[in-house]
Amino acid sequence: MFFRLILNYNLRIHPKDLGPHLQETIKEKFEQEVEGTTHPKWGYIVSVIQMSVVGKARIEDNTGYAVFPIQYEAVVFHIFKNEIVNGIVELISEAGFTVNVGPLSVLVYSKNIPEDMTYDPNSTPPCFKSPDESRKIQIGSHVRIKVFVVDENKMVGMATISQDYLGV
Amino acid sequence: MSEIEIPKEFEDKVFLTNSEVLFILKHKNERMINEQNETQTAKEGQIKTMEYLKEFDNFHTKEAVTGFRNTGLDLEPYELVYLANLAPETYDEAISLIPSLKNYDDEKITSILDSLSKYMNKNQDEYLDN
Repeated sequence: MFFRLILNYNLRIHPKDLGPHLQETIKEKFEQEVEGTTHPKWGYIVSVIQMSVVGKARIEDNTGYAVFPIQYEAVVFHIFKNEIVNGIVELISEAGFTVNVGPLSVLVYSKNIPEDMTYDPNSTPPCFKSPDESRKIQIGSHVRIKVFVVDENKMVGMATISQDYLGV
Repeated sequence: MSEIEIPKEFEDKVFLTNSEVLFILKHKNERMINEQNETQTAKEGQIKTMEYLKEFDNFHTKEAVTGFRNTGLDLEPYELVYLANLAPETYDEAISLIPSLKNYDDEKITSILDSLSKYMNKNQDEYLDN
């Protein structure tokens, strides 16, 4: 799921940038450093909505960098244990398939696919399908998966579709 | 059946539906274009997220999301967003995906599902002033 959170960050600015256009430099550098990274507690920072410098900057002893305390609001992505999400199938093989869920890439191994869905490598395109072919999973399919483990640093996870109302 | 586990620290946070996130990101892009800022190169995860949100935007307008949120005020924040994102069609499907909904009257849940369907299918022409 996605969240709107208020977070804090210490932004280090090299002395050479402490001149005109400092505000712009702070904003650009901050967004570049923070967006697209994983916060250790809250998750993947998709986008900064707004930011402000809260308090006085201080000079770091050894390096001479100016450290600006920043408070910001951001859209954050985090998948909970056993969360059910929609995703788009990216790769498929007899071993299973991968699903894109926002920035996350999730693996669904064949043992987490219902037994009645079998892999047909000869169909165009290759797919997992039910006996009556009413349900098919192929590249580009929208699937509903239940994610049971996530590594947010590597942005990978594992999921199952072996439950009622999951799959296609 | 293993249920979603939400750590305590997330419980009081602002949960967003996919549609709301898409609005925020689109609005930010427009603002950057208007201010003629040099758009920074988006990171791979951000690009993938944007593509994902466009595929799974169920509501298409802010009014539709707000309308739906107003019908689900009795629910926990995560339950509302969960319903909005997964869009179950029947009571049984909703309960299977979100077991905590069993805590509410089934009439309440059925009525919320009806309004979910209504707001997802809202014709954009109805919002003439948008």
